[in-house]
Amino acid sequence: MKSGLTLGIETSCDETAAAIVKDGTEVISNVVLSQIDIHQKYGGVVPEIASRHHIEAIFPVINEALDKANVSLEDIEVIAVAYGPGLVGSLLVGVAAAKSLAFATQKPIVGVNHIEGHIYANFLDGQSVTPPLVCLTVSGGHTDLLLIPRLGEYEIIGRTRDDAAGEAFDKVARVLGLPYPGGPQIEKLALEGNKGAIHFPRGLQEHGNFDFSFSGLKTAALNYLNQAKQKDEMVDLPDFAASFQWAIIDILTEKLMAAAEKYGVNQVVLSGGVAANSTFRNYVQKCVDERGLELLYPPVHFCTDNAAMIASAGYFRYNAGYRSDYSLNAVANLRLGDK
Amino acid sequence: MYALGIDTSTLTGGVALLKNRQLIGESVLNIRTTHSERLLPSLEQLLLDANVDSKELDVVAVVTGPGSFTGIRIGVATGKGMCYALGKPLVGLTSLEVFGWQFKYFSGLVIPLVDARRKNVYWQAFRQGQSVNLPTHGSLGDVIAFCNTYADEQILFVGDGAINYSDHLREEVVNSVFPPVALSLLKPGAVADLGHIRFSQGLTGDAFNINPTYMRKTEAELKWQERT
Ligand SMILES: [Zn+2]
Repeated sequence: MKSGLTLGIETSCDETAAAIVKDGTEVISNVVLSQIDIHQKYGGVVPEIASRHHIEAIFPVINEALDKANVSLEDIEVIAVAYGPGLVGSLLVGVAAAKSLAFATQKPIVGVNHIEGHIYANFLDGQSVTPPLVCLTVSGGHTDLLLIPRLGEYEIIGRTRDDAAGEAFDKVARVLGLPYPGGPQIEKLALEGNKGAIHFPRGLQEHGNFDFSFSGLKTAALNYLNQAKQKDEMVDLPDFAASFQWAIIDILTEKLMAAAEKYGVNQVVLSGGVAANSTFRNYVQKCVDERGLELLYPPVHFCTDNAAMIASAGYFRYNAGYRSDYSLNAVANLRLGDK
Repeated sequence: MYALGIDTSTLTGGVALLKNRQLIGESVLNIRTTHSERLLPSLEQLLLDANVDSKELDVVAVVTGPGSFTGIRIGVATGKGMCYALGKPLVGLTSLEVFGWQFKYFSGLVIPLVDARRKNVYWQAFRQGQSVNLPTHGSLGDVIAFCNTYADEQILFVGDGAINYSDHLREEVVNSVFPPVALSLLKPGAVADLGHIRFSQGLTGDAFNINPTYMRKTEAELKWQERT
């Protein structure tokens, strides 16, 4: 069935989601059932409770996605499912559901890395994505610099050797007594500050190295606060926040631009939670404009977990010749580039 | 009339295919590979060997628990997916009732024990396939106390709990009987057979209304209850 229709399934955390996407780009339906209210009273996602809700919700959600798209399972060309990273019990529900649908209908199935899915959120909503491109995924768990030479393929050209960028934001914010997640709080504080007030070290600055390191920066920032406390000096918080944030933005952007130049791409893509930092976005936009490149980031409503992005990533991987078999398993700590 | 049986409620588990209540094939594995990796490949091989297309299936029966929460969900999700895609009815059966069915020709009491760890079990008593009490989650001590009120008949203990706690049970329940270990486990064939019967009685469900039987709240819910 060459319909170009992909059924995407996503259950990696506390959202049960299914979507129908045509040709990897056109979202026909996108159903997301969030469990956030259920887990709130426990102060975080409880894995066993999440799994219990997924198994009850998964087929109603798939059914709704098909209904809303006004297509039947028979019309689907390929089934895509997120198989990691995430909560293993939650992932297993989606994986088992997807595999049994694929088996019963004899449709191909493609396992998708959830983080790769976030990159493909850029392909939804009519953005025109044209590889080769470089993509920087920055979140609380990730700082990955990827080259996408053609659709459905990726190559990791750089990743963090220690903390993720979002993690550094969160840890420094916690010491400042700011609520989680720390990134948006620091961004707010930094608005009133001078980014050149304090010079913080950048890690791994040598040319041609696309890996990141944020532990040195984090330690320097924490030391700065500690020393001020010991000497009983006031810290200018806006200046501190602006300088700290700038150190991260500077190193991220520098490597991103160097990679864009080295691989001769026309498009630069941002994904992950830190991509929502507008100071970061604006600076990358400025650098991209100077070089005559194009910057893409996902539409806001596809930034959070959804199955449309999984369908998109799966569709392009399927077209690139990838298939999963019936032994596909959930992998809690799946990394980009893992089989 | 083809009935498929699926059981993934314990480490051991597998699939069976019946045609008009005759066993066509059965695959049971007791290995470390997860149900997630081995269930569908087993099912694919079984249907291939039997030369039966999944579209020919009339009913799918799946064990909904009690047992390993994760294992149960893999089996239930698979059963739901098959039935949703094929438009066929789904039968949900507890592991306990299938045990009762599998050992119904024993003349005394049959008590399946599904190990819930630390000498806790899911259990229920049956006599010739009919349940004697409600399915229960409790301590081995509760089971022993129950058995002592049935001192005048033989009591057959089956299931992984019966295997794991046999020494203790032999000591405390003088009229206890144990099948050989290899015969003490749930047979997917029995799942399919009871599924066939439920189907012929019109007692079926679908991908939306058949769900796991945990018989136990999550730790987080129990702690929450304690606090409030
Ligand atoms: Zn995500």
